[in-house]
Amino acid sequence: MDIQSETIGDTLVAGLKKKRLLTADSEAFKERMTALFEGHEGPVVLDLAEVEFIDSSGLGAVVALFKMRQEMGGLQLARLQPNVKSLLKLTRLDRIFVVHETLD
Amino acid sequence: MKVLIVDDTPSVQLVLQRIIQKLGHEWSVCSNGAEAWDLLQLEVFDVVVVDWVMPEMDGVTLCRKIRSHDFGYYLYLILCTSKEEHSDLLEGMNAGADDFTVKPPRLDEFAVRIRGAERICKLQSELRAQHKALQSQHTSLTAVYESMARDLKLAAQSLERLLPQRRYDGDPVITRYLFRPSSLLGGDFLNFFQLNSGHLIFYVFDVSGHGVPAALKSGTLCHLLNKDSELVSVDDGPRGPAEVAARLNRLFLVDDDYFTLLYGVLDTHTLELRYVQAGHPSPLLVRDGGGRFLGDGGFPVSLLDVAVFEERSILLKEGDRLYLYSDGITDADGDEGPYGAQRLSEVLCGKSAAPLQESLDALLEQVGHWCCQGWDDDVSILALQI
Repeated sequence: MDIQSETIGDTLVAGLKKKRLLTADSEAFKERMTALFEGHEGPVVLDLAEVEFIDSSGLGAVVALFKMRQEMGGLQLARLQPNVKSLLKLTRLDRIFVVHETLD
Repeated sequence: MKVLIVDDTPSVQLVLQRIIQKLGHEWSVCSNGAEAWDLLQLEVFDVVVVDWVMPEMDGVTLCRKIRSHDFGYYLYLILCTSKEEHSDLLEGMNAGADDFTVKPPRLDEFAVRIRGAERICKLQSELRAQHKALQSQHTSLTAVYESMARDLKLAAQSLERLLPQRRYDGDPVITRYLFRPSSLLGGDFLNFFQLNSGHLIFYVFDVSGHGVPAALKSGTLCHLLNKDSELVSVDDGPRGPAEVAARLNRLFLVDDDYFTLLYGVLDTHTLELRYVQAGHPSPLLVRDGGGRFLGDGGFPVSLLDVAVFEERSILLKEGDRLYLYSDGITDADGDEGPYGAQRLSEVLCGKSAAPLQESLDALLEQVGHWCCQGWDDDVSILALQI
């Protein structure tokens, strides 16, 4: 699971370097992200610029992480591809997540 | 090690016996190739020291015979010869000999050759042990895999038994559907039933994840969403679709996974359809040959406690077709990307004059063409025609 992370100010930016987030990867993804959360108290931005497709379990993992960070500055999303964007719209999660068009 | 001495000269036999004994190995003796061949069928040896020239069966023939037979273990062959011609050595090696020694045998030289044999035999037996361990691991893994595959198949079958009748020709609605679980067994399911003389209930759902957990949850949901369930009906009438979704949301919120649902209640007298779209793809309405998608999304069930569910309604009319499908079809991956809802709409509208079942078969065929490689996702699509 390739996730590149950097801290900008008090925000942790985690970029998922993967084209597809599928059932098979969702556990590993959750574990890696949880490990990154360790010791970080500010907001987290999940950069999905490279992700073309997320299946149902992948979406479940993203929401589980969101819940995990609710008390801790939240989990936001950035740079969604069209397919992922429409998945979020279909499931109304675009109303739950703060979504950024860019990383600025 | 066990060494078999094959030599027709008693004096040579004796010398070899002494040397082998001195080196601390066990031995047996045969005086020709045929005799040795028979003994090798009965006893296991590590090394065969074989003379070249013997009556009945000579050494080279014995080597060849040994090499062409599968003993299940490796026999190390030392060919004894008084010949020292280069071509003879080649012939011996081609016959399968591992090493050579000259006659009459000398203790120091022969000891070195036997030690060489010992090294090879040790490696051989280590390899055999490793191979055996791997084989037994492979066997147990295969057994585990087979039992899992069997479980999945059984789970799929028990789920399929819960499906509604294939062809329902009611008044004023007829239904057809396609249902094909993937080999990994996803959480798709579909159902419909007449609740009372005035209402038809139908739904499709897709539990996140795959395999037995997803199938179990599908089964639970199917049992909850049946004709006699208080989740579905209240005071002899249908419970509102949004309320059904909200109740399910509360019921399953503790689970880690979630499901998407499209749940509809059709008033069979007025043809008013009330439905809730809970994260499930928008159903396609085909009317007068044209298609449009109903609804613009909604929260999935049991993903968030803050989720609210909205009821929508539409008045259907005679000739309308409604298709409820899961994302297994629209996400089906081809060289040019996912199949998508637009293509689905085109195929189903194109077949709007054909029988309902034919429209579904045409769609399945088109999606199959789209994914030139193996397409192995769940397929579920429920079609209703007024």
